Amino acid sequence: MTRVGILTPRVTSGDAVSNDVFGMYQRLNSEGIEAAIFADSSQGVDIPVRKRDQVNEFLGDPKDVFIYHHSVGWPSGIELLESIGCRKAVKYHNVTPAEYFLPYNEDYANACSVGRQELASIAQVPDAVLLSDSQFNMNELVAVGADLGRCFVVPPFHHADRLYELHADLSVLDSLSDGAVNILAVGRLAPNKAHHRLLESFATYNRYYNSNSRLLIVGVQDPRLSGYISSLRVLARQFGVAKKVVFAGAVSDESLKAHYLASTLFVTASDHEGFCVPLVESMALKLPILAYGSTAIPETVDGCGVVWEDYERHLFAESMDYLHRHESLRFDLSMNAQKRFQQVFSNSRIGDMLMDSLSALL
Amino acid sequence: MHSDEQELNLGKAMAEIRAAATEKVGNCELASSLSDTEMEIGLLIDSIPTKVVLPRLHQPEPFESKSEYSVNDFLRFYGEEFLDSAYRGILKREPDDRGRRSYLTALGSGRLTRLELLGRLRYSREGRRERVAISGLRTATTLHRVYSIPVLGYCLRMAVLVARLPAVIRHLQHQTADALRRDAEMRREADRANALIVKQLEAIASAISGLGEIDIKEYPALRQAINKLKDVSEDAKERATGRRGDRIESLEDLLNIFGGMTKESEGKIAHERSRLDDMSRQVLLNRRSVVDNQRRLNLLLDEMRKPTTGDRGGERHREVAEAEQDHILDAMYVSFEDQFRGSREEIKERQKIYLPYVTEVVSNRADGQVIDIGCGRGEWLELLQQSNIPARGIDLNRILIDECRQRGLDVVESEALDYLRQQKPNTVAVISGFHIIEHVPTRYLVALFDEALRALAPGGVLIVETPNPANVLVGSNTFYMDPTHRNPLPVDLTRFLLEARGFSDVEVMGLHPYPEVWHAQGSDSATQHINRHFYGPQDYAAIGYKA
Repeated sequence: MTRVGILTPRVTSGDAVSNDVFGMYQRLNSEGIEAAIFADSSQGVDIPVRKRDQVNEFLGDPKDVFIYHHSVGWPSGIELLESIGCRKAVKYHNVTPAEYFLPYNEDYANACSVGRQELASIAQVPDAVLLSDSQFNMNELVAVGADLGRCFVVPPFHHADRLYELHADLSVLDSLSDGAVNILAVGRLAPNKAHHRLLESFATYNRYYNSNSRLLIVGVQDPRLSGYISSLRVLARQFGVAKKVVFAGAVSDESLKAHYLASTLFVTASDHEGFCVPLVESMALKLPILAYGSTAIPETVDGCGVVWEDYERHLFAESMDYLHRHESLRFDLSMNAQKRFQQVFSNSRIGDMLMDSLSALL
Repeated sequence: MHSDEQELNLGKAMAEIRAAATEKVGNCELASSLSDTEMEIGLLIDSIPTKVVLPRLHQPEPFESKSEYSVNDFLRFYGEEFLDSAYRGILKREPDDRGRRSYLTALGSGRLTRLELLGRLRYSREGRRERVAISGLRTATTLHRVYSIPVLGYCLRMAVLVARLPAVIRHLQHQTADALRRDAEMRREADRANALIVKQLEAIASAISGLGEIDIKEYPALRQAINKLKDVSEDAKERATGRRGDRIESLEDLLNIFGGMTKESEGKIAHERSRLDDMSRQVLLNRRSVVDNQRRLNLLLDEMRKPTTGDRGGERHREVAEAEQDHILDAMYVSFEDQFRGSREEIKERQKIYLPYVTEVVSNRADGQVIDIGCGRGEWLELLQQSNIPARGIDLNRILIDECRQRGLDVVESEALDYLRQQKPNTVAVISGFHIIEHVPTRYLVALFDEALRALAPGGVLIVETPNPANVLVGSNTFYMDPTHRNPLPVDLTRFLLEARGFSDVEVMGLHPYPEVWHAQGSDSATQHINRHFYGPQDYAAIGYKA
């Protein structure tokens, strides 16, 4: 029977790459295919994760399938992809351009730079099926020479279904339900997410439209990017909104759900996204979206939120105010978004797309 | 994915947003515009060390567990370290709290020497069981036992002391030399710590000077911080090169300075906080609903868990389930009230109109009760409380009852008619019911008026308020916004019913007309007619007295 091995550098609980890997693993297993996850390190996960050097042993048959999950520079992974003797596929989650990280962390920047250079090698792997989180990612692969006939868009698996089902943390819900308008941003604190724009537009909104408002920034704070994070805190002080901006850090799923429920709208002004999973969570939890339409964001939202082609702080502040005042518009947007989630981004739908894309290999 | 109409709405909304935003450009200045400067400051702050790792002073080699010891293996240590080593070595465990306390006290007061303590532990029942070999301990312990014999022990002790005097003096000289060595070592380490702190402060000062291009005038807090930082740095240098051993707390000072920057920047922006916001209402309502459902579920689960016998058990479960069924819509009705009834303050403002009626009756009958039927969110009860008129509310909605109680209001869960029937005749001063009578069938309403009349004391008053169907918008539309409304009651019908059941001096007041701005313009009779019937009073009050 065909076996499928999925390789990624590191598996943890709760990050977008790991959720995608788990989703692939679970769907393949539910189809009766023996799948296994391989990584150099893993932390806090229930699913068994094997070591990278066990891949060749597991995938002994030339008809087995090796899926390499590409999200950062990892020469060992590429080496294995090129050398392994079975069928191959790559899942391209996108790699953030290095220049975003250069001022803050050289190691980070190097890993991203290598990751982007590796794209060309990935595109050239003979007969490999290339799965991309979005059309945007797929275009990047095609631009470096990938054969369009072997490219497919398969959105990333996510934990929005689970988020929808579980109970919100009531203490968090209570603490946020104090009458203030909560504006939510979710995603790790990384320079490509351009949090400074959120602070700037929120400060404008808070000062000129609604002083009883709060910006909630939920996301992992990586100590390697502490320079960026410190800058954001300084900016919040400079704009006079230090007390109105909550840097919540990484939170539990229950707390995350409470943040979604207690908020009036979801906002992102990110400069670079290969897909943007938090948008899908917002859609699932019916939170209206306000976004700057960079990179893959317009494609992910597809008209189910207010997405601007340009970023300008007054425009964002005005949008926050408008959406807050127009409940019926928020309702329409959130209903459309939830419909889009169910029709396009539910894990079962994504699973179908995965199986269709891999049908030539399995 | 979405209909053309919705797309149109979104497009229209976005066009409106862009137009409004364009107008505001230039009018909404922030404390500082975005530049790279802030980012540089962020990086600078990040470069400030928040933790200084100081070198550790010399420590004795840690205690090692072995199969055989000499007494000196233990006597290298003092105080707690000695006690821990002795327990670990001899009893192979950590000291218990009681043992630790009593032995440390005994060692500290001189009642017990370390050698005696080793002997006690080794030859205790537990120590004998462990059988740890300690060379030199038996002789020392035996000698100590002999010392405790009166007179003879003392003489022997003195003799031994004199004999050992040269060895004791050698030991003391060794101890003194060791103490001096330690003191010198501590001084050297203090110097190194000071030098380390100075170096780090210099690094910070150099990072600040590296900011170069920034116009510091734009950032007074930063300028102040830099000046203070220089002072601190100079001071640290002086102290490091001057008096040795001073503790330098410069880093803490530094963090305080940067903390001060926060306050300064925030102090600059004193906002007008005028906008009332009600959009988080939905979350509050969800919260209420969740809590109520949890409560209901717990109740049903408790019932299910109770031991049941035969048919009676099933019957009991049915009763509880049916009783809960009545409350299943409590949360929804609360949401409805919050959404359509108006804010708490608005309602209280409106209800002030009734206070003179109540005050008049209560001043004549101080002992009479004041009862509000269907008290809901308790605005009227609160108003009475603020006017020092004790009152009790009656309601069936448990969520609202809980909320009222949390506000310190006296509310009981009861059906209105049942409650009135329990009141003694001629004892109640005031009965009120706001937006109640349109919820009940006519037969019930008549019974309610009858019971109210029976319970009221002579001179007592009944106040009811209800939507006014003479207003066409109310009668044809808004009345039906409340899904629990049954019959609209025209003014004349209410007046007739009150009088027919025995109330006297019935007074009717039209309330809450639409604001003037809604009215059609014109003074002709047709316009006035339209204004009266479309924009006239939306509610009315009917007030009746018991003769």
